[in-house]
Amino acid sequence: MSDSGGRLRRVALSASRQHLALAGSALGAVGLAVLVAGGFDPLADAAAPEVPPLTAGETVDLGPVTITPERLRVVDELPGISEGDDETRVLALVATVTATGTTTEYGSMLSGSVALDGVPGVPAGGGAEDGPVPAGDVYVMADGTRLDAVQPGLEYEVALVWEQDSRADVPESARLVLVGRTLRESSIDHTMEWLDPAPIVAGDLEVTAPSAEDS
Amino acid sequence: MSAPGWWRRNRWGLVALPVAAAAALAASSYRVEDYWWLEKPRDLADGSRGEWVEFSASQYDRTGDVPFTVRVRLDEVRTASAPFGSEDPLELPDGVQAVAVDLTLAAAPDVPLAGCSLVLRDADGTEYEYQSSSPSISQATSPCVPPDARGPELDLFEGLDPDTGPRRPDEWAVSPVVLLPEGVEVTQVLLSWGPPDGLLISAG
Amino acid sequence: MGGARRVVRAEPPSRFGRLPRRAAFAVLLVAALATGRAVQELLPVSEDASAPFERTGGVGDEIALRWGEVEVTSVEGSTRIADPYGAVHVTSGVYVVVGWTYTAAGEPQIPSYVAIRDTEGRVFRTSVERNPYSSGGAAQPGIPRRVTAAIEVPVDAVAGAELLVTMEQNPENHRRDDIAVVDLGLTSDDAEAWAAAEEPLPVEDPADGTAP
Repeated sequence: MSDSGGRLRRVALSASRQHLALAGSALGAVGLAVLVAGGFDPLADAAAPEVPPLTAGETVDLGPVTITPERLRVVDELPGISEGDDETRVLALVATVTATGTTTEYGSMLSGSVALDGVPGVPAGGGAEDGPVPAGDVYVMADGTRLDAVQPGLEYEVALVWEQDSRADVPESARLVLVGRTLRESSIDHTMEWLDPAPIVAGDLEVTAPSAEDS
Repeated sequence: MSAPGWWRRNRWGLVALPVAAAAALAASSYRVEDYWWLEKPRDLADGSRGEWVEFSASQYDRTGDVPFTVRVRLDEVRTASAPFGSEDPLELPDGVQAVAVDLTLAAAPDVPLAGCSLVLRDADGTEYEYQSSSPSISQATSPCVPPDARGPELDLFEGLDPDTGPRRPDEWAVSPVVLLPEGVEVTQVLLSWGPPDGLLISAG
Repeated sequence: MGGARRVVRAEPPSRFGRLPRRAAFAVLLVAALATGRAVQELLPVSEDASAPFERTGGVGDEIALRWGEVEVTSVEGSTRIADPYGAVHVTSGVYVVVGWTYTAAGEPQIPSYVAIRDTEGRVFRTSVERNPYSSGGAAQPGIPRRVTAAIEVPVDAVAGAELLVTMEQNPENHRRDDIAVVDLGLTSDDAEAWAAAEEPLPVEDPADGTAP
């Protein structure tokens, strides 16, 4: 570093005043580019803002979709869903989802927007993940089939599901984190995309115990 | 003393100009190879029906380049009676014909050759591809090796044994089937184990 | 550059005459670049230049495109469909089920992008399960491929809806390529009737050849 600095200084000294200004601005631009590419953001140090609390039954605008979380429950059986087996049970968030954009949003965006935080045994199989765990899948309540695309202007009643290790206890309540996105131009290909996922609301929801016939 | 002429004053700039132009073109053409040269087989060896052609090229996998040499003879392009490597009868929709390409190949048994593509061309240059599965036909995955003795595979994934199955014979015959619209006459057969190299055999 | 400086040293009096000229040149250069940028920003060039070429037609028309030919053969609707695996899907809107024939040109090709566009410009694309469409893989040139797509849309999107078909799955890659735009000829009467229909419409697997 000191060696290249010395060379730069020698170059700078030998250049004319015009060149000095040019070299200075070029150096500044390179420095800025390095900082930006390295992820430097002067605002990043600011403490993460408090996320507003979540209320069941209240609609939240996540950007590409609005979602109304209704209730969280343990599911034994829902047609088509991987029923809880001996090793895992299924936690499901029942919610109403409406796409607000102008084009189809694919399912991974929706399941990635709803996460459970700090529930023991989620994800099942003991992934080393820290922090909120996004839903594994989304199903339509009306027919029990997987929702792999959300069409604009349609309302869906869905179950967002997580598998929980059945050795862990059924939690009495679980912390739900809803992740919002912003429509902006991608810096990579300059297309408008829903980017910058960030928690919008978070809060505890009561978990309804499994129905009578337990597995 | 008269001022030096324009040409003289700018002589270094003029010398640098073609170099700069060439450098700019080179720098902006970094995708030509991917988008054009490697898009299809373009570096073609020629052959004609009934004669042996020796074809050398290279594939690559986790171990690096895997060069190979294979001898190929196109015996016949004829109406097919069954899919390649299958006993099921052909059930063709109206207006569709099935063409079998009889090829004899010879190569060392330790050379991976399963990953090849077979294309038939008509006189207009329209291309018809060998497909192992489509709504109208289901046949062997590779058109170039015996379905029951494919020989070694490329070492593409960790944990995958590339050398399974029975030994491939030193010389073998295959009859892959390609579907074409009725009335189309095949003029050329193009075999490739990955662009840009290919083997173009005239069927006439 | 070294040559230029030597010239300057040989004729000291011209040195001061030359500096303003250089400054003027620099200003002119920056001005030219700025003008170019301003013109580029002002003109809607980027949108127009990146738009696909729309080849339009109606139901039953053979639409010729760079990569082949598209002909819509049937349009139906209901609140339910039965996908090729037998699963029944129920929508809160309307399932529009479109059958069409596709004939590739030149080489085997796959029409990967299939969508319905409504009069507001909203675009409803196919997926794998909820909005089933299967191309059946690349179609050999000259052999017609019959395919079906079922897409769920809100009831108010039905009247005036168009079917979009093209090769590239990513809309970013549609620029300067042909896209088939088929007016499905639908009215609000169709929308109402379909929103009340409960009979599951079958979604057929792709098949080769002209319809039997």
